[in-house]
Amino acid sequence: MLQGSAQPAMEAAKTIQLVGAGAFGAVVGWYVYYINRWRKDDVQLSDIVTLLGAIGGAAVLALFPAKSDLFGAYGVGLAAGFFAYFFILVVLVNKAPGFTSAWFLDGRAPKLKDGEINTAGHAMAQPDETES
Amino acid sequence: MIVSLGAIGFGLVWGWLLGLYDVRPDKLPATIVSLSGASVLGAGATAWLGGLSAAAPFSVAALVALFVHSQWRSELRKRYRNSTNP
Repeated sequence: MLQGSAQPAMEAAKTIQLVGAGAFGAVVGWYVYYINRWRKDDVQLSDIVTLLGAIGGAAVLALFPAKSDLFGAYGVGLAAGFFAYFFILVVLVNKAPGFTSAWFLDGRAPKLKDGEINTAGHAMAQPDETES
Repeated sequence: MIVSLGAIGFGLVWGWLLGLYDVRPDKLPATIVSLSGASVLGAGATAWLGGLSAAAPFSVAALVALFVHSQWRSELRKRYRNSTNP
């Protein structure tokens, strides 16, 4: 009886662990794409190797034992977060006025209008507008 | 099963990231050696973490993602080669 009642609790813990590992992977995957998107220069080999370390480095190994389902759930979440960012970006770039898919090649963006300045992706406003 | 799916996930992300890397003709051999070495490392790490059977799904997924991403970027380059900023 006691054993029977304990079994579902273990199952629930395992499920929540899998969900947690997947969610953690999704956050890391989302952030990996975010870092890749906001890099300043062309992709270097060192960037890719650094990302490999971030994806499957020592910290991840410490959290998820090798050959465990948790490691698998982390990998699934990683891909889900990474490609979710990408697909949302595709939708937003295609919906944004003046932007085309060429943005994915070289960050090509529409010309700035009068009164707009480029502040490297942050909010745009003329400095003069805030001073009166 | 979940471990194999996780290996596929790792492979897809890794292959997609490799597709970002524009290979310069003057550095072609060194780049290929470096990226291949890094990929073998990735496959080895996945085999170590997920078992030997996880290396195959990782490799196949990485190759598929690399191919799809490279083709997509190639199509974009063809389409927007001479276009100017709107």
